[in-house]
Amino acid sequence: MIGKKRTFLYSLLFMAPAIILVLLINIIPIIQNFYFSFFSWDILDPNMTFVGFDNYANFFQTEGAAVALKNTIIYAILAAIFKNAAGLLFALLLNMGLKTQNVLRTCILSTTMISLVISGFTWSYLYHPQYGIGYFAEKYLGLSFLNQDWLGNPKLALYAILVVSIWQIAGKYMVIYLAGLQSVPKDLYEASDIDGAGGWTKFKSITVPLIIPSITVGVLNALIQGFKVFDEIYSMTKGGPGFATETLTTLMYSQTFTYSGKAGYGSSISGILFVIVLVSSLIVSGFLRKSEDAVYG
Amino acid sequence: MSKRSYIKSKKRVRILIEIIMIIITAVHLFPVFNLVCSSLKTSGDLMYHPVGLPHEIDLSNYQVAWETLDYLRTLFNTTFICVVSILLIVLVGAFAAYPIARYNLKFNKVMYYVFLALIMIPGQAILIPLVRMYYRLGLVNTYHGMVIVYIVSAAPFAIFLYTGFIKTIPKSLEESAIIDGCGPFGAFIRIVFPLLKSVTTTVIILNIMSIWNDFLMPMLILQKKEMRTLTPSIFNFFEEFSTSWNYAFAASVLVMLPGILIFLLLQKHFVEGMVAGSVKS
Repeated sequence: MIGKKRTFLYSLLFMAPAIILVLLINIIPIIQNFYFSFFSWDILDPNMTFVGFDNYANFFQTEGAAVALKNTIIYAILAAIFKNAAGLLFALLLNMGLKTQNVLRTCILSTTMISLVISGFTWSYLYHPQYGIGYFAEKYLGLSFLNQDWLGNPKLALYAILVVSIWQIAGKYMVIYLAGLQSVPKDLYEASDIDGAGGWTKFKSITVPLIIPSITVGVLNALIQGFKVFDEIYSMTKGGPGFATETLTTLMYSQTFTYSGKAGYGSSISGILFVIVLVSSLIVSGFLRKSEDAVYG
Repeated sequence: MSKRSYIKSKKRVRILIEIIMIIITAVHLFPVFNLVCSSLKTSGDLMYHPVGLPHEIDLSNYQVAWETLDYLRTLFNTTFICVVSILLIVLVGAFAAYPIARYNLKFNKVMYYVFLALIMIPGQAILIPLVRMYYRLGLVNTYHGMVIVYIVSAAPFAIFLYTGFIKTIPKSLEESAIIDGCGPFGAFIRIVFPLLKSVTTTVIILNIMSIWNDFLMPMLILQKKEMRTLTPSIFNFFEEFSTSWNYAFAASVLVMLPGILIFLLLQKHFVEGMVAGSVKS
């Protein structure tokens, strides 16, 4: 119908806005980020000094960097586990045909549209040692272990923040698993009923293998989001107390935008984060795909 | 156990689970409930009764919050940026996807893989050079600057969704339009684009979710007070009123409300969008 040259021209015209924007504002900055990480420079100053691999070599010499790396990895792994566990649990329990199931699903899901900044603030209050629920739990119920300075205690703060992010997003993971559960044929459960299988056996040998695609999606999502964690930490503790809740992104932010001359170091953190996200998502998706093949093979 | 009592006990278990789930959901919503209650308390009431219902309803917190936030302006900024960005994401994404899905050229294939690879890239990896570029080009504190960031970060995934969908539409429809004298653009706009409603809904929902509550990017790019969007402005409010919890609560409710309303109005689409969008990784 139309010649090859014409088709190419049309393709180019159709794609022009996407290509121009993505090249200029995505690909160039990715390359720049690696390039800039070999310099010492300030975000508002065009002058740069070449320092070679110094920003990478001195990565751990900045106060809080080692903790930030450790926290990021712990946070991402725990987030991947607990966000998915919470989502799956809600999905299973709200897929049984309960009378109020639709209303309950909506309620659980509604918190996903509350920003993490507001969620963080709301929970900071609930975590407050004088006003928070911990104080009331001790006063009226005698549960003294709940009355802690959750965000002020370096040992607890990171986990207290994780709870907020699970609370906020659990509904989204519930939706992912609800979609997965729809794809499990009902007659499989009926057949296993005849075989006399119990609830746990059914879950283990029918449900789980058949929702592995949802698990893959859920785990990868939560893991990547976990590595990039910023909003909830910055709004609740800003990385404190001390460096107890510092992560790679909060460190990158504070080094680049609040210290002078550290933008190159910030770029090197971005680079490290980029590699971590890429490598871990390749490993995890490879591992989960293997188990997918084992089931569907 | 007789069959009847078996069914009866199963029914009882179900009622028990229902009660437990209602309690869990109530606990889940408690922080929001407490937020709304606290926003209606005076600072004194809040001091003595930090948790639970207000003793008397006091709306003065809202007045302070409304004025300090410059609420209508902030809400307008957020809505405007969100709407324009999403409109352009849809157009840029659908247009770019069309030749990829239809013309079997090597160039198109290569571009498709480039876009796919870009989906994987975390926004933080380009944050610093982007902010530097924005300062140098004078794109800081502008609507179009913010909109461009959103198009660039969302276009690759939109292209991926649209390409997959356009491939399922039979070619014969456009071919007859082209025979009737439509150019490829006419055929796309008149025939194909109207058929993309369901993917477009997904793209819209996904981007409402990521743009409406976005924090870091607008905090860096829109620093002037009159340009601010909701989430960074509530963050600044907390910094400013770190000891006046009652004002901060009222401000939180104001900032949270539009998002919740959007969710309740488009609830069904949210669920579909989240499922379709979760294949991202």
